[in-house]
Amino acid sequence: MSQPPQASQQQSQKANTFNKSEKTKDIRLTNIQAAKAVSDAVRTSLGPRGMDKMIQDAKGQVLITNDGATILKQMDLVHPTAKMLVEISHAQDVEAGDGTTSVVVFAGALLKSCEVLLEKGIHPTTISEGFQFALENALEALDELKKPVDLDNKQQLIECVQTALSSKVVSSNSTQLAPLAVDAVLRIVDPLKPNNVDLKDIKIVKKLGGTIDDTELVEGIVFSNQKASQTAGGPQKIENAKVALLQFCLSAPKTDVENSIAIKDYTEMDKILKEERKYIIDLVKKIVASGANVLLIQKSILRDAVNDLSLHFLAKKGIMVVKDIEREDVEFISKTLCLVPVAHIDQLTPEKLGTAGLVETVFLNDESKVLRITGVPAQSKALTILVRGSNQLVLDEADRSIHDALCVVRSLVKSKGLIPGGGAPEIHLSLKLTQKANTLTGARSMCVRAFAEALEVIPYTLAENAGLNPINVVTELRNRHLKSQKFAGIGMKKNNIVDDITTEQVVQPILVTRSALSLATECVRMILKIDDLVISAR
Amino acid sequence: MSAVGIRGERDQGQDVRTSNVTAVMAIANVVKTSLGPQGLDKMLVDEIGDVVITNDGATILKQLEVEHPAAKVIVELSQLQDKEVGDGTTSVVILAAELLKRANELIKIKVHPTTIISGYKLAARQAVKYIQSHLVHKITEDDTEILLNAAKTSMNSKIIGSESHIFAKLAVDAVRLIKTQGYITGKPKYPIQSINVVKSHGQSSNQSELVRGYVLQTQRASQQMVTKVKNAKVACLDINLNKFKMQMGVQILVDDPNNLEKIRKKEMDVLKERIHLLLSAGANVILTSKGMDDLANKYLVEAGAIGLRRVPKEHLRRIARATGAKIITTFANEETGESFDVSSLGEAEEVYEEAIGDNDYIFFKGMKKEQSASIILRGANEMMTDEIERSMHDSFCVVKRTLESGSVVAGGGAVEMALSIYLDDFSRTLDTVEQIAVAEFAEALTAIPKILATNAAKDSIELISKLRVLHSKSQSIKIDEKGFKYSGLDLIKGEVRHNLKHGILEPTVSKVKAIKFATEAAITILRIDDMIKLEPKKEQMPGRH
Repeated sequence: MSQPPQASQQQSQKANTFNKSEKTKDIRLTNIQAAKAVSDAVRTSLGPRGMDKMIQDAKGQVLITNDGATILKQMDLVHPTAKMLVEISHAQDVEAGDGTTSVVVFAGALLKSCEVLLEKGIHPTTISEGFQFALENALEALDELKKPVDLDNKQQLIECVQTALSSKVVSSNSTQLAPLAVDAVLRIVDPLKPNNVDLKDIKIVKKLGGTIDDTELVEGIVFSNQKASQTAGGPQKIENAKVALLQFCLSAPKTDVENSIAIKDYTEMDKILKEERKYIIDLVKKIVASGANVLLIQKSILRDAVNDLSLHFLAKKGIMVVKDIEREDVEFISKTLCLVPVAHIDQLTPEKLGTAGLVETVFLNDESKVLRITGVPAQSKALTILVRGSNQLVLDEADRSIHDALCVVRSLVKSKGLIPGGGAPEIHLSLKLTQKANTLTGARSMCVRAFAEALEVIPYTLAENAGLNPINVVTELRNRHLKSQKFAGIGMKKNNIVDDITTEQVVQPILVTRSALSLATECVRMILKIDDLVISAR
Repeated sequence: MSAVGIRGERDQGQDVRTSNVTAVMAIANVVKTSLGPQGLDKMLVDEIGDVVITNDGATILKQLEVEHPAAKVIVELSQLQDKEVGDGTTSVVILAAELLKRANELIKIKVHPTTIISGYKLAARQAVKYIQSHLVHKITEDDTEILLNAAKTSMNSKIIGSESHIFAKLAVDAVRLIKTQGYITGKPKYPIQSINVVKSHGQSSNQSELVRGYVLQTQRASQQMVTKVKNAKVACLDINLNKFKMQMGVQILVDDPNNLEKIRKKEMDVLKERIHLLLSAGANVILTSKGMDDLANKYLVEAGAIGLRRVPKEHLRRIARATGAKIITTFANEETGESFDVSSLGEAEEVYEEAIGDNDYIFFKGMKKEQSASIILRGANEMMTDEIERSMHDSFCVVKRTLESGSVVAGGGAVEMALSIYLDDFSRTLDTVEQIAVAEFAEALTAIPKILATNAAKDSIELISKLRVLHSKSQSIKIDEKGFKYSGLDLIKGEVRHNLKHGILEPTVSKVKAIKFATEAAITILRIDDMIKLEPKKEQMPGRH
């Protein structure tokens, strides 16, 4: 943190007013300090040998995670510049879903080298442009490492996902989770738009209990909280289901609070009773007429979704009723079962129904129940992953890891290229940029060189986290890359340097590194350009 | 505030590990003394002043208000063991704490945590494999002797330990009674939650008994009702049998006093009609989860039927299933009228009321569809019956797991010691850094027999040495004729003996899961090198700046 000048208060104020450049330098340094502190906070969780963080939030909830984006999101940082780093980590999460820690660590290293450059008197704009130039060159050089991906080659995809999972708590389950993630994403790729997938089509459902080994991919829908109504002895299993998604309630209409019905005669009592029944019976008759035998009813806060009466009649007709369907699930359900939600009973027609081979309440091996809809139409593109875990902490972490895994596959679908992992690409780029810097003159050369050095932080940190001597590892890697072993990297199986890291199946999508480099550079350039910090009074 | 600028505390590196390990050790120390047959009980008093006396690890930890996040992981661990196995909740905590303590020592001498983690994982895998290949003793379903012994072993440490022969028989019989075929798999299942445990204090715990049928702690709705019905037809309702009332929002305005009377009569008629529907269908035992007023009672008394009101839904459901009744939520039929179907009635040979201790109980016997098991526990005071219930629950779980897994292992520290020797040997075949972690894992396992011996006030060092010799012998010779591998502790006499022969048995699955869970929990905590505690958000006062 910057210290105020040693002179007296008055003098320093005066100095600040007149000597603006002094102040802007301070601001820049403070910003850089804050951002570096953030990157230091997450660096120990980088890589397969990285550690976890335990975070207790303001409510006392405990979270154990290894995911950079999650750590930073939970840390609740105060400094505005630190928040920028949190945002790039989040941006990386959205864009690539993986590499959220590396992006922050790299940004921190870049900022550190800025400090040196600034000290030498290089103007921030020059540094900023120099970095941009370096980035462009780096991205070009990155393509040299690229290996094309064949989406039909599942093994290759699975290896990639395993690399991404290797740092997580669930790494021991990666042989099971990786194929699962690959299968899930490949299934939802739209042949018309082969370069993108919408991960919203994969619903991750968490259910406490069992172990991660019990996690499964379901072609269809799994409800963990909603279940088929049993109150009136309704069916728990329906084959060849016709599913209707209702957005209205199956209970008697209520009068408004102010209004009331006045009855004067005892005969009217009978009438009211019968009227209510008639209303429900009419509803049920219309549902039966439409041919539906499974009803999914959207949650409503205004009225009871169903009442005893309607449940009783529906159960008699052998119709399964599932209530409390969440509003946000409606779209997913419609997509999966190819149905149209119905907002009024009169619109309930046979063509609005979805079909499913089997709808049933399934007992999981620990005797908890979920409702499962399988045998969905062939054209349906959506599916569900049912995640199990022995406690909430593990369950949440498994959820996050599966999300990362899915994102990795998605980035492979988006840009069909693979590069080696284990620090190999960073060293390769660093080398190329240093060579480039030697062909340049002036401040730009310094900037490119600084960028090249900053890249080495990734292998450096990987080695450090694995308990290796980082200096030896990085220098040896440099040496090997200079001998044009461009796939040399740090292998974690034996904790040593391997000539070709791809032989250990350590590979990652090119998109992850590409987006990490661009995001980090952009963020650093932005921080460099800030020369004043005004905290507005509220 | 640190340089990162978070609102709260942050600990890193060795500080976090040490603080985590300390917290976990503190938890383990709480339950340590309750392990084993000679373990002692804890008396827990909560803020209201309620007293719980227990020996069950999971129950003790549930009552503790644990603050430290790492300690919470351990508390959850024992809860998990309780849920998945039902027994071994204390030993799983001790094992996890021991693993962590040893890991922390290793980290202090600069072994990297990830190396320890992979070593522990390897060790746990090997241990589980070894149990299954060498230490199990296969049993069949009819092996009553073994089931009884397994149940007895689980009770040994509890308050009912001295009467374990009575309670073990109760537990085994009860679990056998509730055997059903699995829903999908067709394998036999033992849903122990359907064993109905009724506590009534008074008399001695020896008077506890098993009832083949369902016991409901409730009274007849009216004292004038008959106390016994033979060939009962049971109706299970989820309907209010009170005088009929119009729903909210319906006002009754009367301008003619004659009408008032008519409306009142109509209200009664609706109820009378409903009761008539039930009685004419042949029902003579009527259960409802809702109310039953005097008017309804009157009709039932006249008809010589038993009416039970406010039956908890859970019990209602079980009785319905066992008698073959359907739970009826409404009388309405499709013609907007009301009706009651005879097929909704369940059957039981007899239903009667009997007083046990201070309370009245309704007994359902000879139910048509399913056998049901109820256990009536007696005891000197409420705390005792509560603890007996918990102990019985553990034993049910043990019997169930034994039946399901079809194999047992010897108790009294036999498995732990055998594994310790095996893993120690195994570690010497590894030429990587994991060796040291596996060796520590082996050493950590001996904590269980050590604590068992210490709790029994025996010389733990001497006993452990004797055990170690026997197990080491069993693993070095080719054929273990004398069954040295089943050697365990006899904590009464302070000797080493063949525990399989002496009937100290535990279900295999309990040991396997305990090792798996403890390792997993230890790894979860080991992986943490940074702890961030955020300050609770202060409520902002509205309108203040």
